[in-house]
Amino acid sequence: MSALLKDQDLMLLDRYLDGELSPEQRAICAARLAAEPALRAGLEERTQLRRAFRAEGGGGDRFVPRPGFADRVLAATHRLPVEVAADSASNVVKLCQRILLVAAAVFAAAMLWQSGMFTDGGDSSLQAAPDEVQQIVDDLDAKIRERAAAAGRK
Amino acid sequence: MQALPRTVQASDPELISAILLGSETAFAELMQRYQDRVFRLLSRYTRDALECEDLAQEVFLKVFRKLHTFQHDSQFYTWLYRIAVNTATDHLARRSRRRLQLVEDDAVLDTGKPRSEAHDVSEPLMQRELAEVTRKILDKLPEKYRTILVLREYEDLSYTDIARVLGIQLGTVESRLFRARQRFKEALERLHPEHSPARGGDR
Repeated sequence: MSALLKDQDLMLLDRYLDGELSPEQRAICAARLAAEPALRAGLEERTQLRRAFRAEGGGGDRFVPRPGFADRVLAATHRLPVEVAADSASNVVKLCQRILLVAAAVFAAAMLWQSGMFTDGGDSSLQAAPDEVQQIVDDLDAKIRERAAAAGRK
Repeated sequence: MQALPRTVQASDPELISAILLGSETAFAELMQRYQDRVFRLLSRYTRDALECEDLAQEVFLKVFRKLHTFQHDSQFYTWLYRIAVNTATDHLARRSRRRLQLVEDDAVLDTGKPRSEAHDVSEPLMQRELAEVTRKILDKLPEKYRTILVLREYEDLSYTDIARVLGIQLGTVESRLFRARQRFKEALERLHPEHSPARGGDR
């Protein structure tokens, strides 16, 4: 019979039986149940479905804690700090390994830098021999004089 | 770990505070308060008493280790149920992998063909049969459907609490619960029509 009902109606009936409707929604649902035989039939089906769970709920294997369960758990908690310490030690070793790895990478990069691998090939040094500097200055002076002489001729 | 004086009728938050300060007595009290519920819930996932106890111990050890992460914006038992459900479903997954057996295998729901209806049996026998059938079907439902049915039908959790335990939206609870019931109903109709609600159920 519930095949005649839409899923939305069946979900409404579930919420009705589960007590999940607000008072207003419940009143609306009750009014629909009074007026719609198909909905009432659906309600009966959903109610019977719940009886299956109730039947199972009363029987079957329901395990209960054996005496001393809590003591056994407490004893197990005493072993936890050791495990935590072991975890911590393991984490320290991993951290040291990472630090060493990073240090090695930095050292290698510094060595490459030092060897000039990262330069553009030109001499970026600010240092120059005094003769070279004097030569450059003389050249510049000569150019200035040439331009002044050219300007005077004009 | 220090042992603080036993707190009579302490609330859950009080016990939790005491445990975080190192009280074993408080932890024992908390276990005493919830161990029956945890065992009942875990009994839905295993048929072995020792396995159930192992799982329960795992649950409470997780509680002990993770208690400092518990947010007090929800009830403690919903947090506890969440740990228990996760532990149980992890256990199912491990067991499933070990046995190379699909959990969702309707073919093994029952060894026989659908039974004919209208057995002339007494009411208590019908009840026992129905209980057995229900358990078998529940065992073979996909884990997410079994879990939501267990939380609703046996643990009597509200939709809101189920949403908290499973970490899902309220609307998802409603739709998943509906689908779970539909799957259960279909299996009942197919395999045990004499118990099917559409045929009058267990009378």
